[in-house]
Amino acid sequence: MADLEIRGVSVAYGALTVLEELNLTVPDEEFLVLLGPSGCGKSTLLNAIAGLQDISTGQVVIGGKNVTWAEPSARGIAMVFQSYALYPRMSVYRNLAYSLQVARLPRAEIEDRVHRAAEMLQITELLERKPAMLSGGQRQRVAIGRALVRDASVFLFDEPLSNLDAQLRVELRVEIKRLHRELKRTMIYVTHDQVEAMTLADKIAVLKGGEIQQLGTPDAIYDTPANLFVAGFVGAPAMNFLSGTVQSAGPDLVVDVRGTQLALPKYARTAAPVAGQKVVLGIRPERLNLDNRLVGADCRLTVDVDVQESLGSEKVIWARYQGQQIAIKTPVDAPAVTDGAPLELNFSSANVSLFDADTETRL
Amino acid sequence: MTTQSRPQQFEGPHGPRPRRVSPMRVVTYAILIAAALFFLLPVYVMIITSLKPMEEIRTGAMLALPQNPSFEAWSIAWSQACSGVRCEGVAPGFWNSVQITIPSVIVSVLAGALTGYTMSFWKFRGSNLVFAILIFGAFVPYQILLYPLVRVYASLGIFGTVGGLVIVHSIFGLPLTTLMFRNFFVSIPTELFKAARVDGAGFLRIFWQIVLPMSAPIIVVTVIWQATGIWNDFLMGLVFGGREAKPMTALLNNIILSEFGERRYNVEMAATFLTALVPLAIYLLSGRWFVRGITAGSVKG
Repeated sequence: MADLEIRGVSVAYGALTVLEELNLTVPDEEFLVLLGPSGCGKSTLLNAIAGLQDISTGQVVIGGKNVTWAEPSARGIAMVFQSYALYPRMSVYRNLAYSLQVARLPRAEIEDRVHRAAEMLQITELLERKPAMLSGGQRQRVAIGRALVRDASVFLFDEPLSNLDAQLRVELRVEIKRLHRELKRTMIYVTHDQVEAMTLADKIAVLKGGEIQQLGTPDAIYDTPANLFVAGFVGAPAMNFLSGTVQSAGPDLVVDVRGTQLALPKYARTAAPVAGQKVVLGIRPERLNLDNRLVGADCRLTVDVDVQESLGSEKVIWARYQGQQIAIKTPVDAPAVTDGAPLELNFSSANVSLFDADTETRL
Repeated sequence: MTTQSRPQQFEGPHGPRPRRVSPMRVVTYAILIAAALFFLLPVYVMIITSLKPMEEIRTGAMLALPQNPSFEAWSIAWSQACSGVRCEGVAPGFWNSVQITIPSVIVSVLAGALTGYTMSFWKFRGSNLVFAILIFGAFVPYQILLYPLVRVYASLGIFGTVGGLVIVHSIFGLPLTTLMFRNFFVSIPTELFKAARVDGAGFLRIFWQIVLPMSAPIIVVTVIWQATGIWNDFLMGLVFGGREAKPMTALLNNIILSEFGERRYNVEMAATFLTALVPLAIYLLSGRWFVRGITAGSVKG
């Protein structure tokens, strides 16, 4: 029910500037994930949106209303925290009802709203309990419920699943996705977990050093990363990087990666490479193939197998090429390879990424 | 190969470790018992002396049990012992102490909680400096402030009143209670406070409804600390108590000093014990809470 606009927001703790002149627009009903390593400013940005962190310049506009100086409770937001932040002395019911009681809503409406939220999250039978009597997953459900009853137009999530074990994390992730579909509210979700980012987001904003490195759909972030940082941060195992030099930058682009000439006829350029330019060529582990089954594979590279890891559903082969480590993700039924033996890989030039070695931006 | 079948017989140590009385343990207990006796012996002497009539005390058998135990000395100490020209026992001092201690404890604990809460969650520019200055107050020797305060009190007309003593104790208690509360609040995650702000709660509402209900352990500790400290205070009571508002400790001192002729040890012991009874009771009743509160926050709850 509301879009969100961050206009030139800076946040500084004394001499340390965490965010500088940051601009970001989130359309109504969008699920935006702020993704980045710890200390990148993503939580600071979320707190600034919530009004829990004073900003030094700029504006925060929610639903067309300038809320830069508004109290957190007056911004039409709800927030879910990593540590759940449930009030320990209150029952689950009072935890959910608290904001409504503070706002002096009629008792009947409070009861109605709390029960609706509790039903949505299947925590109705927990309403009389104290938070200490709940498991981690139940606590986070209650915390989400507390955000639900507020009926806010923008939901803010600050690493809500980081304290949970792997299985619960998947369960609640799906739940949050469903809530987004049912509630149709703008959601902003902070995480350092790329799986959460990829699965939940309509759009991902990758942050580093207080700056947005790339804003795009999960597919765009994954397939066409804007720079080396984004390419290396998203994906596991990380994208393979080979340093090389542009041999020919004409209509037929050729890159020399330490002795191997790779023609990249199908590469979609975003900038014009120059002959002699130092570049980094990136290719995802799952885009590397062992056999010739792939239609349209137009590049070949011979590497030396180092070790192999089987993950049950797939296999990761770690290999070396000219002193650089290469990961290859293959199906478990792919042809067997021998440790220490040379291995010929093939891939499509449509699937590579090229970055300038100095500026680290995409070419 | 890892195997899951167990051998029938285990070689070497197995099962629970056998419990044995080690020499170390014997030494430990011996030291503890000796220390306990060392501190309990004077208490024992006090109690039995207070129960003896003077004739028995004169025989000099200090450790002997009383032949005819009686509470006469206690009764004299409570309501008849003389302090100067007034012979009303320690009772007036007891009631003064009650009237001084209760409001002083309430004010200093509540003010410390509120200040500590502000310093922890509502940091303002320079709040750390204010906190440092406040804590510095805990280390200023009272003696420096006595004379100026007496002059101020005299000009305000509150010298020698219970109210004046309440103010002194509340102010001097504030640095320490603030420090204790702030250190406790550090263990409360700030996210809890943020959640309350998003929920629309303000400064005082968060304090009363969220923070204070979580602070039971530290409230107990500061109340015990302040109650015993203020009850046991002698210096402030002596200086600011004047003639009418003397606390029990100051009155006890007067009674013991103003005795002449034969010293009535039984009455003195009884009066002393009566004075010590309140802090003693507080510790006995709440010792468990006290230890729990002191260590609270060191382990995640």
